[in-house]
Amino acid sequence: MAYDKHVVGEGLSLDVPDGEFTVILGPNACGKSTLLRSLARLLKPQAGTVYLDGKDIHRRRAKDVATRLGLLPQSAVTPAGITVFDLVRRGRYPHQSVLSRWSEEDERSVARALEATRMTDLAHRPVDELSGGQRQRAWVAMVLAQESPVLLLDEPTTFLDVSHQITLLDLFAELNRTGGRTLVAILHDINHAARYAGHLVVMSDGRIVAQGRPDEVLTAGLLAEVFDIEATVIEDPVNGGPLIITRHRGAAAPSPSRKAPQR
Amino acid sequence: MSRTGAARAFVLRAPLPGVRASERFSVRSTLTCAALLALTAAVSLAALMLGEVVYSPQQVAQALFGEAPGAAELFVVQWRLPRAVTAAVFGAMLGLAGALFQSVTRNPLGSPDIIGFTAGSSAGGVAVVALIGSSHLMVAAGALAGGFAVAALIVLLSRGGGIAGFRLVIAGIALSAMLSGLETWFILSADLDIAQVAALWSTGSLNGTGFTYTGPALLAGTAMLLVTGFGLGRRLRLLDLGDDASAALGADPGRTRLLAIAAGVVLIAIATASAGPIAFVALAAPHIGRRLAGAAGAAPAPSACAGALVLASADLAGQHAIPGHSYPVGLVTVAVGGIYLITLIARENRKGTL
Repeated sequence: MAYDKHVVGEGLSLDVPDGEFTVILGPNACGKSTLLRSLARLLKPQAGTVYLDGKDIHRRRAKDVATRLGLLPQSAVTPAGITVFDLVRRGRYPHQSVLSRWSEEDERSVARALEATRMTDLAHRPVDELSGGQRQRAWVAMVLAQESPVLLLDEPTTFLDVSHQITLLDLFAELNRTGGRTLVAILHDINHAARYAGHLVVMSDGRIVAQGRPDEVLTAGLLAEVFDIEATVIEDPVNGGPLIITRHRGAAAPSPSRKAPQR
Repeated sequence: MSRTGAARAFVLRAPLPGVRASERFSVRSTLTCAALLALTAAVSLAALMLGEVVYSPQQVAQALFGEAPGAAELFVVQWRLPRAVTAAVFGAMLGLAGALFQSVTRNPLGSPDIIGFTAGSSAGGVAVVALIGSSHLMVAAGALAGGFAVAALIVLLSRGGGIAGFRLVIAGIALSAMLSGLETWFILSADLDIAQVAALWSTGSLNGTGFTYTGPALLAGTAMLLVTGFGLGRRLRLLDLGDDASAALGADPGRTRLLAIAAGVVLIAIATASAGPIAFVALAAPHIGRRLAGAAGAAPAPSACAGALVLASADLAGQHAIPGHSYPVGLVTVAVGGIYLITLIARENRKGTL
């Protein structure tokens, strides 16, 4: 497949399906970020190979990889006073050479990225004056301007309030569905993962414990094993798909049934 | 904030009105550079006019176009012009080097003066003068070697902590102190006439600049300015976004740092070899340029232009500010730059960003 990757790092293998929204779930420090950084060519696995377009990612030029693969890093630094526009246009770097100046195509890509993230009206505002959700969308626009068919997102919704989280996830779903992009995102909210993922990868202790469609992967047994939580998986009454309800200590007796819509 | 509606395809739009990108991002920066260069030209003109014999702007123009009597030609073209040009070009080189180091260290104090590169180049140059001889090429080689030795040491010393932040500044201050001690020892242990040459060189002065003597340095410096500005500008702007973002966009941050440090050391060494160590221009120029241009992060071009103006003005002041006395430009920049450094440290300290 065109953008398929196959990872073998610390004995783990992963195929990222082309054109899917893949979500990686797992407790803190289980190796999610490491996995994503390996996929993004930021880390070289000690053994094994990451393949992008069927070729070893480390044997390709960094700029070539960057035209195929974009990353929204967790450690992004927003330079003081930078405007949204200035940030987004830096995403065009892999398409430019030392001597080429700003082209019509660069301009169109930036305009499209701003449009897709609904940041056009805020283009001239300094990023550090925006709300958390808008700031994150500005960064997503920067990655979109890169025009890569694959997007890797490292905890894109962390530190955002619920409304911003959903806006952003809907944007990702839209990019996947209508933009045809392959997405790989690390998320912390199991229910968000269940709702948005087409392909779900669950990690624990540096291993991939389960992968597949969310309704197949997410079971009470798996959640107990990986996250050490007691949870019930029911059918989502609004969106369909699995919905996870965690049990809090001291709550009433558990209902054993897996699919029992309550209330 | 608008809620996401139904799925829709990407819309191809004409360039947004008022967002002519090619203008948007560079208009203020370009204007700033133009203004700084115009001021530098004005200062340089003053430098050509002033002196023991004062000429009018018309006479200067005539001399430059070869239509003036021999005496005016000698004063303006042979004596004053090389010095004025050198001040502007070396200033630009120091300004750019400062911008490179501040960007690499992500620290407003991370200039070559503070982290010891200038001291390294200076000690290298003095060592060559004292031990081997004062031929221009040898001094240049010594300054370059000194600069690179310090660069290697700094990278080693700040290992683990990364080449950023407070640790680098502290290591640099310690290194600078040791190096100036070493320099003093070289001067003291040399013969008197050699020591005098070395001591004079180590104040940083544009006295006795001539095209035959400084010409090669000017050419090399101009070439380095252009190559560095065009080659590294975009990479530095990516480095500003963080290491991961830079790597994901195809610019390896480690490589950017290495290239920037190497280019910075070469720039400093070329200027130092010809004029001796000129302090504080590399520290102050990037701050001035960046602020005027309203730029976020690295701003190589405005920094270089600000450097040109600062050094040209400092040399003019050194020569003519106190009638009857001429001071080396290094002395002026140390005096003015010291005040600047104190205010900068006070401000950063208050912000807690040091």
